[in-house]
Amino acid sequence: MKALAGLAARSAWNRRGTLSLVVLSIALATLLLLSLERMRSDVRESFAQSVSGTDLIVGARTGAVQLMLYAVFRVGSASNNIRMDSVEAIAKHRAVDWVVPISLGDSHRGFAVLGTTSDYFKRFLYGDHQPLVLAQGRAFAGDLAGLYDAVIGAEVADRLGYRLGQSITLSHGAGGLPGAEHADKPFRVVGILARTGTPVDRTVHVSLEAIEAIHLDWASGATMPGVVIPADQARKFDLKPKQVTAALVGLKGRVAVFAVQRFVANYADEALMAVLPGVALDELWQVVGVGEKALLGMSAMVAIVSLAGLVAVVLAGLNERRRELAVLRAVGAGPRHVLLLLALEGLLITVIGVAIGLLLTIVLIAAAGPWVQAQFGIGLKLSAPSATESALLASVLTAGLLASLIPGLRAYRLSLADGLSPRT
Amino acid sequence: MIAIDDLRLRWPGAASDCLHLPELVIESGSSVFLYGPSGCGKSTLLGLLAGVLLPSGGRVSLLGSDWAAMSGARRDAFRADHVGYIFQQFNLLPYLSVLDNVLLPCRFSAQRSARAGAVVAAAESLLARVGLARALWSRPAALLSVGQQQRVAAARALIGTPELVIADEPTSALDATLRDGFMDLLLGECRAAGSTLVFVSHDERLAPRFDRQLSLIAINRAAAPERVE
Repeated sequence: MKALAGLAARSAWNRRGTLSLVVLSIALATLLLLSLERMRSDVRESFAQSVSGTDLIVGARTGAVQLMLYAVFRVGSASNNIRMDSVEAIAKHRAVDWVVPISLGDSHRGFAVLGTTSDYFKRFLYGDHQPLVLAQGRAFAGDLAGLYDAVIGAEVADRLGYRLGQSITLSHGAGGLPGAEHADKPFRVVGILARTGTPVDRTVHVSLEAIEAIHLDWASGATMPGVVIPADQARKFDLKPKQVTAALVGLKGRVAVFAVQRFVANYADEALMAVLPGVALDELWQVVGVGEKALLGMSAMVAIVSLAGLVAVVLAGLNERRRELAVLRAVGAGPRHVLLLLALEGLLITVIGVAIGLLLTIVLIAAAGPWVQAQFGIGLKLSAPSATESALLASVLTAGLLASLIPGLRAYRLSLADGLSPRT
Repeated sequence: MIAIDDLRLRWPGAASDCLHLPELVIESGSSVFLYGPSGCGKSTLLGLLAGVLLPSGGRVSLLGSDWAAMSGARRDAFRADHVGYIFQQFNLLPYLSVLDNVLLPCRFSAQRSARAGAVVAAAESLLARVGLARALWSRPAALLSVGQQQRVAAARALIGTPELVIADEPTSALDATLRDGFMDLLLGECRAAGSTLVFVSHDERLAPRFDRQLSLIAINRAAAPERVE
């Protein structure tokens, strides 16, 4: 067996020119399978890590997935606002522990601006119930003196090079439109959050009152002509928010979650909905899952094609190797040795291809990981293969071994028929 | 050593036998020259002697064991243990070194490996005796000339002193000088090892050097051969 493996390796090395192409195609198929699986699991992990400790998300009636995506991941478009008095009514429900209203819609150089209360920094949890930590500075107090205070996420600070005390201006909407700057009311960075690996890193946090203040002289998404309210003057207006985008709700006990959900859904004064983050995520994965399966199917197909290439190349070379098989028979190898030799050769090629594919995957994740993190906020991690990845690797290897049996059996039959005098 | 009893061989689909040898016994340690024109069934007979082919009727036995009575795997092992084989040409695996080619039978037969003792030393001593320069031993076999390759093949057939050495026209690709040297070497080594040598050729000039000469045409009772090799 060991002798045969050595023979198989040296015979394959002798034909390394053609076989290296097969190795390459197997490596690429492995890379595709592994990186897809890694992407899939890390995206899910990233999403699942982004919110914890929040029992319900309340917003205007829309799809559960849409509300979740917008409120937590800043993905998609704004739903209707909800009235602040509805939020206060929910906060008074006896099962509700806390409510953190949030207001989205503005941006700063491509980063989302989130208006909220100072409670947000105490209540919002991510990952395994980890609270937000300020790396530098402090949270905004929510009072009038600190009206124009902002707390920025780690990614915002890193990418824009901001330090404490930096003065920033917010843009109306997603930004990019001329004249849609809230340039007259600059903010000051008072706190920088530690990195979380969640959308919080890419968010500028200000108080709800600040959101009101910068929109005092705005109506329907544009400045009101002739109305100019300077930053200091804004403090004299009633800045109590009338509307917010959504509210994060924490309960005193998980048991009441459906009762509160029903209470919100049946709320008479406004059409509201409450979603469970976990359930909304599951719903999202169900939708995304179809696409994932299609992609996985395609990469499985690519793997099959590359193994078919292996079979074709080894089969095509077999006729020129009948002399080699006869020599092996003459020195005492049986047809079963010949079968084993060919199977070992195919397995060897598959193993090398898979190993190179694994290596390529690691290099790709190491190289593209930081970019993906910055661009999409998804942390691709270098770690030992997961159970699914190991299963994928094992199935490629098994398929490779099975595929190698095809040329193996053909060689078996040839060497039985040829004996010591190959008819070439 | 070799005993043939009423051997018949008919290819599948053929109307008549291509070989029919009523009786043939080859004594241990002898050297036999088997000759005949091309296509008379010489290679077929060698396949039967080496247990790669099985007869349609009758018996071929080596060292008292009937090839047909053994399982396929047993035949392969028995051949590995007791038979050294030299082809007309292309004897070597091109991707192995000269030394590894000589060692091949020891990889498939524990018995020959044991008889050779220190296998690498045995292979080196054989290579030295067949006159292959030490510098060539570690080179890939594909780089050797035809004459050198045949000498390596002889060393490989002889390693672990198999009881039977079969040579199928091993000199037909060699010129006269090389051929004579090769014959001296092969006959001398077989005699020294006590191995029986069955040597096939159509070159009857070589015949006098052997203990016994056999014309396949004369001993084959089958009608005109159908099969052309």
